[in-house]
Amino acid sequence: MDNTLNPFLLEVMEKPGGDKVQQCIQCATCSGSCPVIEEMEYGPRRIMYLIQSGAEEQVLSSRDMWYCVSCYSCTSRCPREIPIAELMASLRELAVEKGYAEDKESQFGQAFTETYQHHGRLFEPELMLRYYLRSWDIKGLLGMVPLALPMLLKDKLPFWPERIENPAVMTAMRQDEEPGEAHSSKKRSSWWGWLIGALLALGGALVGALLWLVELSLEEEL
Amino acid sequence: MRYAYYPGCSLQSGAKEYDLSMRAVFARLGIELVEIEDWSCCGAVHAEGQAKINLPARNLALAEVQGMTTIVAPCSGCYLNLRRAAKQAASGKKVRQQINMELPGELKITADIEVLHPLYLLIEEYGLEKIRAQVTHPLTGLRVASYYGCMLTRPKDRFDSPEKPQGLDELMRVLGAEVVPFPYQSKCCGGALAISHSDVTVKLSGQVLGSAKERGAEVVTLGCPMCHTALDLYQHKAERALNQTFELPILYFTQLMGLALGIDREQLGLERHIVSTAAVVEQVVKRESEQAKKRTREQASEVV
Amino acid sequence: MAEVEKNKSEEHQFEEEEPRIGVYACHCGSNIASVLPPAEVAKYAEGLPGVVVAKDHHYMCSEPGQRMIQEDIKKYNLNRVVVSACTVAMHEPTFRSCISDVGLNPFMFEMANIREHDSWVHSHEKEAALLKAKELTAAAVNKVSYARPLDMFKVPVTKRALIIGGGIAGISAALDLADMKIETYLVEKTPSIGGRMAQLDKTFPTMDCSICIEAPKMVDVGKNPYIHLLTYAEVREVDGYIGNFKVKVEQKPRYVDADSCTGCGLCVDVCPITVPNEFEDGMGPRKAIYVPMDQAVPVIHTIDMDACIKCYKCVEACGDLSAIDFAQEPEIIELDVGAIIVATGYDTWDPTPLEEYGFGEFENMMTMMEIERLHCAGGPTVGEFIRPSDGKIPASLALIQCVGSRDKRYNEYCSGFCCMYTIKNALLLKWLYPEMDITIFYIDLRTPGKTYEEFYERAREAGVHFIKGRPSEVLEDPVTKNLIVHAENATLGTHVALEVEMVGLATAAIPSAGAADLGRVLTVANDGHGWFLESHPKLKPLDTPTEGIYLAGSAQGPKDIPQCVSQGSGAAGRASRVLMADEWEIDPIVAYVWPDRCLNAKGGKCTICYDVCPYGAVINKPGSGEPSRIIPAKCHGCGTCVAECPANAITQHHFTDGQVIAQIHSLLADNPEGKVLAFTCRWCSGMGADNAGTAHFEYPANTRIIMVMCAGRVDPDFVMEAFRLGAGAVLVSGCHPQDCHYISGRQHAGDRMERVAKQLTRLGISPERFRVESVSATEGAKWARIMKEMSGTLDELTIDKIKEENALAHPKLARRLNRLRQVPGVAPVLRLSEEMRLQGLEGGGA
Repeated sequence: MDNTLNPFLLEVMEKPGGDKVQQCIQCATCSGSCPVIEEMEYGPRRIMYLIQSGAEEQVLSSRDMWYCVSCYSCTSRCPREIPIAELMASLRELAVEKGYAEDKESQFGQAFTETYQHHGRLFEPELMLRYYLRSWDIKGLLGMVPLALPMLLKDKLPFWPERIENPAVMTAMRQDEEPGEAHSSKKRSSWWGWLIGALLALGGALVGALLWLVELSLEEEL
Repeated sequence: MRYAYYPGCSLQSGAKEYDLSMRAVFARLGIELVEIEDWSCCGAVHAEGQAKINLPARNLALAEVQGMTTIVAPCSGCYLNLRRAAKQAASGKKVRQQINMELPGELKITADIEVLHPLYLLIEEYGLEKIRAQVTHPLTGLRVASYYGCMLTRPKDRFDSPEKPQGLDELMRVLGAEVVPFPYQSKCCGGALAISHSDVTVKLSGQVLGSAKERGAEVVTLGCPMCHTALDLYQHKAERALNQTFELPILYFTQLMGLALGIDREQLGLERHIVSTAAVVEQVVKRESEQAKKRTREQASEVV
Repeated sequence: MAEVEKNKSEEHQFEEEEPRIGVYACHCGSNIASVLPPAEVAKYAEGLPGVVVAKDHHYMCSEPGQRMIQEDIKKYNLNRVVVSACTVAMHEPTFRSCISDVGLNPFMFEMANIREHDSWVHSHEKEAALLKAKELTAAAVNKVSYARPLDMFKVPVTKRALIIGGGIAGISAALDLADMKIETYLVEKTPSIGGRMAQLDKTFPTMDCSICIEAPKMVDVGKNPYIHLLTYAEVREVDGYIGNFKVKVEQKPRYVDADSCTGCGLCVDVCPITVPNEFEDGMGPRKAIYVPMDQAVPVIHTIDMDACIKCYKCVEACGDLSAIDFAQEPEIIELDVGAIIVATGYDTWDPTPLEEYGFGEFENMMTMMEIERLHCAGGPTVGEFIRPSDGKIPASLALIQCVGSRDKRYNEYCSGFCCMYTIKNALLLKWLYPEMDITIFYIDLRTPGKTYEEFYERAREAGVHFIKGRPSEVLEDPVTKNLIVHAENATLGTHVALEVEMVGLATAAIPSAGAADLGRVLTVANDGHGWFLESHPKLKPLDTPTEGIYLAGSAQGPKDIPQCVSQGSGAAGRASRVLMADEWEIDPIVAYVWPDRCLNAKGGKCTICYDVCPYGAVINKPGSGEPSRIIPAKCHGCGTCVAECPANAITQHHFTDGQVIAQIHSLLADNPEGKVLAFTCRWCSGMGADNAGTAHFEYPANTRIIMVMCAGRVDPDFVMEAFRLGAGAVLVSGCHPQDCHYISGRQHAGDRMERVAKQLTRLGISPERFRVESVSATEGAKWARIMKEMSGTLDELTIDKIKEENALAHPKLARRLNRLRQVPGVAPVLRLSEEMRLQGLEGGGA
């Protein structure tokens, strides 16, 4: 029976959330429920159909899974009990694995993983640094800058990372992906991350302060 | 009552006020929280493959080392991840063995571990009536919109409805607040995309805030640091994008509980918000003093 | 009680004659042959003891296939036949009549299921599947070697019928039976017959007024001399068997004397109490004393005692008729009938759990049955279609399909008729209010049926909008109380937020309340969803596995009116086959007590067989010196007493201890440690295993099935003997206890096997090597899962560990042999098996 199914479908069915893809009857409840449907190219319903028909490239190069906000509305309402949100996460993995991932969110995911693997816990300034270095998302950076000062003022950006005793355990646990990525972060000396993180936070704060002041004065003028 | 406490990364940095108020409120209620030693990141939504289970599982095992099998996880995301791992570990001997094999060192999960969100811990294990009895500064007349977000009630679990949840509303009523129903109570705030696609976050959080405002809320309450970021930190962006003023303070439910239980406000981190919480605090104080005056008058008239 | 002809084997030992067995392996087209070569199964069978001839054929069940068997019986003077093919549920009757046509007793026959239990589930393990086919065939050959001829019992037939449920299916059945002059009781639990059809406004696709075409039939039922109407009554107990059912019906008190009430309704006028009317789906009011509708049959009033305040105004109004009787008590009416038709219909699913639609929360969110009553001229608004929030006629209406149907969270099946009734309501409202904007949200529109598609076309012509897309959510505007339906228009791929003034939900049809209880009373199984399970989905859709009980209408699954009418007539036809006969033949596979072995014959005071028999078939006189005796016509043949008897004094024809032990020995002759041996009942678990086959749920091929009638028949000796022989793992699987085809057989099996499990643990057998399970006829996936798990257990434990455990347990298990040998018919089996083993060893050595 299995050899009548296309290879991409079989591959997806192996992944968490993928085993029920064949159950989709295109009722459209998922796409009707999706809060980010307008950002998506296809939406979950058509993604299901594309998977069923083996359209690997269309699915994995689409931006849909990167826009999924994991709100679980589709999952909770799906009358076929397909864990769609989980499936979207699996599609992200597949897209990375197969080299399709280009979305900024995929860079963010990588940066996030590297950061928590580095310290065992998250350290926001370093996460930001890693993300912007990876993505060169200048527009996003500029958008973030005005938020940095208020965050600093309200003590919402730490200068120093919280670390667990032995952060190496984070990478020792099986990741189900190419180990290269994980190891490279381990090899890096651990101090520069904090330092640059702290610098970035400071720098961001300064630039933010400047921009904020400019903005304030502009607003006042208007 | 004694529970293992998993604060999660956000509660150490951006959402410190959630951590502060949580600890203060639980201490007041007589619930002991023991922070899991050397806890690590749960992987949020970015862990892949087996790491999705392994990362949270390490924390479950650590709690067990400290002799505790019920964990409180205040961040909805951490709660979902930890709970998913706990369920998986409890689903069969083989699965548990598999998980244990991949845990570092001697760490092992041997017991069935329960992971609870503090909201439902209070409702199910502590009891709302017990809380009601300890309210000293009721939030009378405060119009609160309870915002559940996503991962607190979805995917469906035994605690509350994934569509029309009630828990937070019930708690707010117990605190004396007036609950403002609004249709976006469990719609997504877009917090997950706050960095990479902040336009989405702005749009979705704007919808949530707009809906709460439209139905007459004075304050939004919630129990998730990511939602808090989207609704508090991004509120000005949303206001600008929608050309609308919200000025809606976003308080963790533990902060409102703190106010209602008469906990020293210093302990609640109320000054750490981007959108000022002063108006809410003031209102609670004002109403309390009015109440106090009224009580004194009543007592006086009784004496007469 | 019927004088029943005794079986030859009871009277005198069947003359021993050397078995001359013919074995026939079926290709079943490519169903079997594509996985394993039947010719090799036949070749292997030739070498088995007692086998005279073995052949294979493309289709054994075909005319040429059957003729081949018949010719061989004559040519080789065969006295026993084995067919290795499909499930007994499919073709056992076929081959039994095939051999009996040429003079062989039909019980000198066995089937080995190498299709559902083999080729269909082991297509990836072809060699292992062939080995399994050979061993299953060997087991059937070994079992049939000890077969004895049995004669069918003949029982008299009570020429009366019982129909449960007075909807259109029950009404149709009753009228047809009455036409055949068969006296018929029609039991209806509500105060009037009519059922769901009476609630409908119009019928699709003809747009007839529903009650107008049903009422004349209801009246016919009411006045037909052959039909006894028992309304406001429920069946409580059913005892007996085909042709001879004893039924207890509870007549609930109406507090109105049925003979005196004229239905004038003066009492209703004076009754001060108003409650929601169930007939109007709770929308309109009714009084505490009421008839459900104007067209009610019978027109006898009923007092709803939960609502009545005992003001006695009705008594006054009734005056000299004195029909009102507050002293009425529930009454048990006993009926003797020969056949029963179950026509209990359906209920509509309450959509409250589907919170995203807000039913029960939003005033203008209705079910389709409420919509039906709202536009019905006889309904609570006298046909004016108004919305509850403000009493206005809605300018726009959305109708949502598949609410709780095709939904794995609630009811995964398609309810079948919702598409049509939704279209009907839309079209009807378009006729009444041409300006009304009506939108139907659907997943797939299903209109199979004569002129149904044309009906759908008419709705499109009339301007009804159709949007493909199941709404994700409905929200309410708190001010206008309008509803906003959110969906994806799947055709366009765009989001829809449609504001309408009212919404109707086409909710799933579900089995009527009480169907499960009635199933237990009748010992007729309900499927996974609660619908009554038919004997065969294609060929016996109106029969239940219990002979003499038939199904009609939606009790078996959702059906529209013409289907219900056809089934009512069909079930009447099936029942009349029995009711028109003077006597009926029933299966002789019953239990029998060896009088000299019974403890009571030696003055004992044993009551075990009597206690476990759910049918009261045992005459048990403890302490009298008289052995227990079983009344064959009352015995249903579960075999529970056989397994329970402490003295091994009871046997079951066709499933003797010797026969089952013969099967065990055949299946475990080779590599026992690597095998999972499963004992299943014939109904739920057996059919569940068949279901796994039909659905092609693969599981490992080192599994072997022995089917008995009920898990209750599985003797601890069987399990112990399997482990003595070295079995890797043993499963005992029956129905879910509440669904047991023999009422309590599965329960007793469970209790007994719990003790066996403890013994095995004491003997050092790992607990996972012995399991007791419940698998229903529809749980093929579960069956496959259990098989996989148990087979996995063997791998996990490793063969060496199993052998080690077996070696330790063997001495104690072997001690049981002496006792087992004394059971009549077992010693020769053990002897032969031992001889064969030794031969095998010699052969292996040479």
